[in-house]
Amino acid sequence: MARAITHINRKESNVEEERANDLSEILKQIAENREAIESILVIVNELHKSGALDIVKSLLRTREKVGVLAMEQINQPAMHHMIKNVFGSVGLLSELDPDQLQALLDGLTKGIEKASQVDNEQNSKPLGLFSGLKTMKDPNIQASLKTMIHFLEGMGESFNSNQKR
Amino acid sequence: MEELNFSFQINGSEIKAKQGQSIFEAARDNNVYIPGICSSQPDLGVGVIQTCDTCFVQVNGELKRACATEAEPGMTVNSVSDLAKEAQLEAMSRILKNHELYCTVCDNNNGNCVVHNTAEYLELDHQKYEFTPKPYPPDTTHPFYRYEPDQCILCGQCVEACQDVQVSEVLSIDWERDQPRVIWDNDVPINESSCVSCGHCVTVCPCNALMEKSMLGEAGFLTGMAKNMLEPMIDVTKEVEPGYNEIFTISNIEATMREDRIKKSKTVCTYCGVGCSFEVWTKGRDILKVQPEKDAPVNGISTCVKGKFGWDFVNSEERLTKPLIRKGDTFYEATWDEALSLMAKKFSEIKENEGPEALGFISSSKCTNEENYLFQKLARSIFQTNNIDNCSRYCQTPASAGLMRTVGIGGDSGTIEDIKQAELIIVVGANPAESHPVLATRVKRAHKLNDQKLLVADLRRNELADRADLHIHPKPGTDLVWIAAVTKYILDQGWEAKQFLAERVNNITEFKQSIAKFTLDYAEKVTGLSKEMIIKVATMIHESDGTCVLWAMGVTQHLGGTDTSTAISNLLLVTGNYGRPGAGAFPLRGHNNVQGASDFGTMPNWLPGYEPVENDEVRGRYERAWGTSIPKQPGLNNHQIVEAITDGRVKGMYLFGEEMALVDSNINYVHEAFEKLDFFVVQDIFFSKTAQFADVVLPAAPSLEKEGTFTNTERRIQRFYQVLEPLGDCKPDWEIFRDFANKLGANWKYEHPSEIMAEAAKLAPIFSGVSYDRLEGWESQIWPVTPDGESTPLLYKEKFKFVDGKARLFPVDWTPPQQYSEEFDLHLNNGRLLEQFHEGNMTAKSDGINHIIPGPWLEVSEELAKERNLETGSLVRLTSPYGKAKVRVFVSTAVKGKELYMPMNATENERAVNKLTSSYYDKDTHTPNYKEAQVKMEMLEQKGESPIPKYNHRFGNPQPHIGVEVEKKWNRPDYTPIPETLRMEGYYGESDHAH
Repeated sequence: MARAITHINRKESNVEEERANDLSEILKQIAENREAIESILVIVNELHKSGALDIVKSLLRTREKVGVLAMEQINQPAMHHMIKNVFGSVGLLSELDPDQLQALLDGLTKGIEKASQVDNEQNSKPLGLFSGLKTMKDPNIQASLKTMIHFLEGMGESFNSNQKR
Repeated sequence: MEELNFSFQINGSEIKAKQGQSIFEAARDNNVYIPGICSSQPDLGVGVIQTCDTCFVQVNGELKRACATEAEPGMTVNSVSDLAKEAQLEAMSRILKNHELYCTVCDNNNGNCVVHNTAEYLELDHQKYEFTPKPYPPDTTHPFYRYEPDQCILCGQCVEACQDVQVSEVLSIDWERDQPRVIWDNDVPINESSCVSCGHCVTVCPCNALMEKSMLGEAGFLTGMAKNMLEPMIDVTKEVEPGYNEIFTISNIEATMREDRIKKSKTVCTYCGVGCSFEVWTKGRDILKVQPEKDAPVNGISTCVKGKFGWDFVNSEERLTKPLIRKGDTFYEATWDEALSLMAKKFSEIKENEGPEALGFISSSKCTNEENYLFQKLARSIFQTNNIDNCSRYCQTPASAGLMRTVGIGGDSGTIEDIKQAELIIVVGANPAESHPVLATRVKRAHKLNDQKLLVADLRRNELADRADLHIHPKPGTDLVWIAAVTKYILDQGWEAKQFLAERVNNITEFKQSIAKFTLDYAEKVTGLSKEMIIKVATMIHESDGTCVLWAMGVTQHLGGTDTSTAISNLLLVTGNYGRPGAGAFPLRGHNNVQGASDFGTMPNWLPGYEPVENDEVRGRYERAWGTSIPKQPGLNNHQIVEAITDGRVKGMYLFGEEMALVDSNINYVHEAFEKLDFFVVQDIFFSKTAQFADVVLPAAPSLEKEGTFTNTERRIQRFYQVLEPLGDCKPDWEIFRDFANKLGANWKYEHPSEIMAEAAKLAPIFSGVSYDRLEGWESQIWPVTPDGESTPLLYKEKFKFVDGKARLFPVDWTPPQQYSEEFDLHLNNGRLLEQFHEGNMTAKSDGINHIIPGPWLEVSEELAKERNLETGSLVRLTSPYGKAKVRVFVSTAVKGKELYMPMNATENERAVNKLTSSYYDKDTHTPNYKEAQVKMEMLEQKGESPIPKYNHRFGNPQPHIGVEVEKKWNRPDYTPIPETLRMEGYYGESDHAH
C-alpha cells in the first residue's frame, strides 16, 4: 500500500555539498591553467600597486552615474564637433594617396630645414623687388610655386562644385 | 502541371527562370541578390505585400518592382544600374523615416536584421528624410511581446502573417490615419485583442518593432543600458551622423560578438504531434527566444503560443533534480546509485517471486524514439515481459487499428503538403485550431486563399467549424452512422471510384452488404442529421478532386472508436482517396511522439516497426541481436495493467513521462490501483500527481536538455539537439534506462542516442535507412525509409501494406455509446485547449501562459445557462457515477443544448475532468471512452469571476481581410510612386542618365 504523499525531505547538507562541489570544480580549473593564472596574478598585483585597480574599481561601481555624466558631456555641440572632426580627419587621411602625400611632406621637411638655416641677420634684411623677382628664376622656387598654384586650383574646384550643389 | 523553363538577362548574365516566377524569385533562386525587405520571408510569398519598394529594378529600361513583375523570356533586367540603385535608395530612405538606426544598442542586431542588412547593402550613407517619431507609445500589454510603433517600418509582413498564414486575422495597418501604424483588432491594446499569441508577427518582423519581451535588454552587450544613458547615446549618434557605414561597421562587430554568447540550437517542439522545429536562442540557461526558420520542413516560420513562448518550465524551481526514495510517508533525496540499486533489487524480487508477468511498463509519448526503443528492450529482454504500452492507448490506437485493418499502416497516409493541396478537408471530432494549431493554419490558409472546401463534424462550433463551408453536429457518439450512410449513398449513386476499387481493393461485395442498413432514414434517426445534410456531405466529397479526412479523439475515445476510424478509411477507399496527392487519412497525433512511441515498439503486441511479437521469425531476429529470449505471448496494455494491479496480478510498475494519475480516465479507480502496487517507479521532470504514489521518483531531463528524435503525425522523424545542460542531477531518460539495465548486468554500452537509432534501424525494416547523419540539421525522414535513405511521404502510391498489395474494405457496425441513468442528464465533452499543453504540468509553469489562461472552465450553452440560471463565472459541481469535480462556468455559443465542454488543463484533482470519466473502453483497443461522459450539474455559487480572463483572445474581435492592403497606402495623398519622385528630381525620364 502506497498512498499519495507530497512531503519531500531534501538533504540539509545540500547547500554545503553544492558549494564544495563548486569549489573543487574551480580548483580543478585553476590547477589545469596554473601558468596563465600565475601571470594574471602578477599583472593584477602590478595594477594594484600602481593604483590603477582602485580607479577602475570606483569607475565600475559608479558606472551608471559616471556613464550618465559622461553622456551628458558627450552630448554637447562642442563634442559633436570634435567627434565629427575626428571622423572627418580620418576620412581625409584615408582618401589621400600616400605617395603624393609623402612627396609633399618631404618638401615640407626640406623647406623647414632650409628656413631654419637662415640666420637672423639675413632675415632682418628687407627683400627687394628685384632680388625677389630674381629668386623666382630659381628652379626650386619655381617648382614650389607651381605646386602651390595647382593646389589652389584644386581647392577652388572643390569650393565651386560644392556651391553649385 | 508542366513547368516551362526559360532564361532572361539580369545584370549582364543569363539566368534560368520558371514560368510564373517573379524576377525577384528567379534572381533569388540563382543567387542574385535583389534587396526586398517585404519579400524576405518565403512563407509569406513574394510580391504579395509590395509595401517596401526596395526591390525596384530596371526592366528593359523601365523601373519596376522585381517582386511583382513576372519574369519573361528574353527580358533584360538591371538591379545595379545607377537608376535602379537610386530607386532602391529612395525606398530605403522612406523606410528610415519610420525607423531609427541605433543598431549597436538594438536587441535585434543579431546579424539577421533585414532592415540593417538591406541598408548596408545599399551603402546608404545619409538620411534623406528625417526620422519622425510616431505619436503612439509602445504597446507592452501582451505578456510575451511588445510593439514599438516608432521603429515600425510599416512593411506589413506581420499583417500578412497574421491574416493569411496564421489566419487569426487580428492585425491590420490602419492606412487611413495621419500616421499609419499596425493595429490589433479594431485598434485595442494587444492583450485585449483576439491575438492568439502564436508569435508569427514577431518572427517575421524585419526589425525591432515587434520583439519577444525575453529578448529586450538581454540580447546585446549594450542593450540592457538604463534609459537615461541609452537615449543621449542615440542622440549623439544621430547628431554626429558619421555616415551609416561607420555605424554598420561597429554594429557588425557587436553582432559578431553576440554569436559568442548567444547559442542557437535546433529543437523539435513537444507540444503536439505536428512536429514543428525551430531554433532556441539561449544565453546561459535563459531562453532569449524561439526562432522558427523557413527551412523547418513542417512549420516553416509558423509556431503556436506553446512552441513560441511556453518553455519557462525548464528553469522552474519545481524541477526534480535528485532521485527520491519513499520511506514511510516521506520522500528522501538519494543518489542515483541508491535509487537504481533499490529498483534492481525490488524488480528482480518481483520477477523471481511472482513471475515476469507481475511487472508493468508504461512508456512516454513525450519522450524520444530512442528512449521508447530502449524501454521496450528493457522490459522484453531483461524482465522478460511484453507488459509494455504507451499513452497512444489513451488517444490514437483506435485510429491506427482502423487503418491497419483497411490499408495496412497505422499512420497518416500523407503529409501536411497533401492537407494544403486537398480540394476538400473533412475534420471529424477534432479541434486542430487548438490541439494542432500550426497544421490548422495550413487548412485555414488554403480555405481562405485557395478555395479549399472545409467540412467539420463536431459537437462544438470550434474555430474550424466556424470557418467551415459546412458544420454538421451529429448526436454524440454517432459518427460511424453518418459516415457509413454517406458511403452507402455514394455507392448507391454510382459515385464510387470504380476503377480504383476494381484494381486495388478487396472485399467490395461483402462490404456493400454490410452497409445496407445505413440508409438515409436510419442515419437521420440515429444521428439527428437531416437526410439533405447527409446527401450534401456525400455531394461535397463527390465533387471534390481529393479529400483528406482529419480526425482525432472525438472519433477514437468511444466504445466503437476503432470501428468509426475504420468507417472513415472505408469511405476514403470507396472514393479512391488513397495513394494520390491531396487526399488520404490523417489521424492527428496529439503528442509530439505518439507516433514514434508506438513505432519503436512500446506496445504489448508489436516489436518496433509494427512487427508482431508472436511471429517467430521477427522475434528471433531481436533475440539474436539482443542475445536474450523474448516472451512470445503479447502482454498487457495500459488499461489491462491497471486492471491487473487492481486484482493483484501486477505488483511492480515502471512509468516514465506520463501523468497517468490525471490523464487516464476514471482517475479515482486508477489512484486506488496505484496504492496497491508493491513497488512503483515514476520518472518525470516534475513531481507529478503520479509521482505521489511512487516508491522511487527519478529526475529526468526534458527535450531541451538532451538529444534524440521524435516522429510527428506525418511519420516524419526529426532530430533535435541539446540546448541546455541537464539541471542538477537529472538525466536523459535513455541514460537512466541504460544505467538501470547495467545495474542488472546488461552491459549496455550506448554513449549517444544515435547508436540506439542505428540498432533500431538495423532491426526494423521500415526504419532501415534512418540514420543521424541523414537527419542532420533541418533534414528529416518519413518512414518507411528504404536502406538507401529514401523517405515515403505519400503512402500506397502503388501498393497497400498487405501481402497482395490490395486494400481491404472492412465491415463494421455501430456501437451505441455508453448509457447512463436519467439523473446524469448532461453530456460532458472534454479535451485540450490552445494555450496549455495537456494537464499543464509543463506550460502551467509559465507566468505568461497562466496570465492568459489560469485554469479549466466549463462551457455551457446559452440555452442551458438560461434554464439553470447560470452565468459566466458561476461555480458548479459536476457529478458522474465515477466522481465529482468543481469548476466555473463559461457561457458559450460553441456548445449546444445539454452538451457541456470542459478542457483538461488541471493539475489538481478537484478540477480534473477525469474524476468524471468512466473505465469503459473501445471494444477493440481498450482506449477509454473519455468522450462518452454524462453528468449532473448543481450550482454552488451563482456569481463569480469569469474562468477565462477578459484579456483572453476568446473575447477578441478579429478583423478579417486579405493581407496588408497596399492599395490603401498607394491611395494616400502623401504617397508618390518612386519612379515619379525620381522623375521630378531629374534622375529619370527625359534623360536616361542618372545625375
